[in-house]
Amino acid sequence: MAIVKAIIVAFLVKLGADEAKAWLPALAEWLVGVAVNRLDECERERYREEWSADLLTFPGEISKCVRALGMVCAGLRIGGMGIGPKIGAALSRVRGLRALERRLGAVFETYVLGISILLASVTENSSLSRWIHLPGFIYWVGIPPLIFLLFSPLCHRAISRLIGLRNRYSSRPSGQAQSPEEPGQIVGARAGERVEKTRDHC
Amino acid sequence: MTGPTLKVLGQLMDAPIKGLSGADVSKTTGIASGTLYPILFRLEKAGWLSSKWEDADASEMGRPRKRLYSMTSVGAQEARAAVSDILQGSGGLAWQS
Repeated sequence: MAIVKAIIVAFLVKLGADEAKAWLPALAEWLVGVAVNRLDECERERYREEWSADLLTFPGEISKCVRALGMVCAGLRIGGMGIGPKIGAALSRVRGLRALERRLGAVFETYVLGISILLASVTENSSLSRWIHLPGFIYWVGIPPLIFLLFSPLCHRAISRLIGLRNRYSSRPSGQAQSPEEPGQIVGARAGERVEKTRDHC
Repeated sequence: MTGPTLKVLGQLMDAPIKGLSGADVSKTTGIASGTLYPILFRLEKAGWLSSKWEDADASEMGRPRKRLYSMTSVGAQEARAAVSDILQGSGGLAWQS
């Protein structure tokens, strides 16, 4: 019985190995396709041919796949040099949403607290004229807008100026020379300008 | 300038006139493709390198053409200047002192 089991296992392993060997070149090609799709359209054909030729210089199928995986990283890096501004814009939108969420959360919490104080007043005093007492009213009406203002970007900027913090994104002087080490970095003040500089070969 | 960039520049400065493909540079320097191609891309965009397809027809060869990279004259000058700056900054090479 053990011999039969060993034969079946060996057969299955051989079958799996053959299958993997047949699929690995296709996998490498697929990875090159994935890598190339990260690039600008005008660069895709060039890099598809260049990277396909590159893969052929490596003999083993596994080493080709490993090399192709590296090309996916390369594609992401090269493509990322162009999509930087888009990512930046998306991140700033997310940051804006988070700030809004924080502000709304603060206001909501404050109102919940205010309502709790009022409810406490209602339970303590049965008369309607007495349960809207002045401290509770001031808290309910005055504090939430104040907190909303404190969380607003305008207020953040004013506080940052007061305590001497500088915005690191705006501190870079515009028109700074472009070094070959980082041609994808922001050169001018506008992101569109940068895209033109990095993609003018198209 | 990073170590891999220096390696690539050094390799391409000693390259034959026809140039070296990315695979050749990768094999001699040991830099992985994920690092190598962004470096080549940046250097080419900066004008330090130029690239061209190998002089052969893909259909005749039965394989895709290689892209051959070579150093431009501007790139060679800039690379030498960058290397000398680095050497001055680090006080020179240990075996030269």
